[in-house]
Amino acid sequence: MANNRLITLMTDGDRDALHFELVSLDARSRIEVAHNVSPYVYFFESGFASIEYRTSGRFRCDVAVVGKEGCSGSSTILGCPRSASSMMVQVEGDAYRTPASALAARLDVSKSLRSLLLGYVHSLQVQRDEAMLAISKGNVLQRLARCLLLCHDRLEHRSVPLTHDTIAFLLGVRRASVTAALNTLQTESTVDLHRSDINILNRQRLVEICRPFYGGEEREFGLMQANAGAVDTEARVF
Amino acid sequence: MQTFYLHLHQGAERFPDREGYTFVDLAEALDEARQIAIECATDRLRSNMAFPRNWSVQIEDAAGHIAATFKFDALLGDFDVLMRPEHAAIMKAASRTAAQAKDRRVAVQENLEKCWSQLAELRDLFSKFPSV
Repeated sequence: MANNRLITLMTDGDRDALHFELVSLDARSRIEVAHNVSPYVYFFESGFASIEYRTSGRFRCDVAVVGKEGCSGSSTILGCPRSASSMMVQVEGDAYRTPASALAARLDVSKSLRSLLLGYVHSLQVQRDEAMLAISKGNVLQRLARCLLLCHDRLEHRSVPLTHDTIAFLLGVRRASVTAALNTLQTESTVDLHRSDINILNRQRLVEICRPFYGGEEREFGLMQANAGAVDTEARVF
Repeated sequence: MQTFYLHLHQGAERFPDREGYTFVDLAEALDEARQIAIECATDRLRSNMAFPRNWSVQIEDAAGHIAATFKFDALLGDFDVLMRPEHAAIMKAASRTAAQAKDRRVAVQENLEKCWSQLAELRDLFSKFPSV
């Protein structure tokens, strides 16, 4: 039984047609490279990856994270073989992969698959919109809280195995800013810091800190699940 | 390339940098410290908090020596110019001159009004003379 939410919501016919193959993904491996055709689309079982948008100059920004609720290949789902952004695995894990060509072919004939995956891309777009809002209106503490929640949502355990450096990379800020904000959270016992591990002690407090910039994606994903006919739509979607 | 550790000091509290950075020289490390200060200070101001005057970034080299300290106060250098005593004296003199000008304007206005009223009196006197 797959752990990936999209695979569990697919019809048996769609699942069989995509000929999934289970693979392991190492941290820092690139599964999508900007402006290149990706041979596979990955449906994450565990761990997560981030979507990075980079200009030709030195400017770059991580715009979203994807884990067991989703997949790579948004551009393939939207009918564009080449993605404008890159995707890098941040926490190692497993994923089911399918050839991008097989997915594109199935999307042409299966309305249920198209509806499911377009709904997912829509919820991912909401996550990007919230990221934009957080970057333009939020402070580092709020953005950090949001980042921790997004990572926590996608992992099975309470701790987030990310270094300050990786979080700084994800947020697009300097490491010192992350260190200061993390210490603020530790002082109020919201998190417990280890060398390359952040233990979340008070998830509700994190939600309070970043409330304006968090939750929309989950709401949209829940609606999508309801539309797809999921039996238990009250259950946590992540 | 050299390794430097950039420790953030928030007043008495110290957040040590355990990972370190690689820079060409101390000047580059100081530039990064300045950027850290700008980022932290901007974030504080954005959160409606006071400018962190007593914060600093301490730069430690690979041998464990403190090579330099960048104080957040240094970011305010350009604004502090306005606070210097000689500039304050100029501001005081300028406001005194403005006050005098205001007083003189009032005086000129009063004299003009007096002049107009005297002219009106003259016009009345002239009107009492029989026409020739």
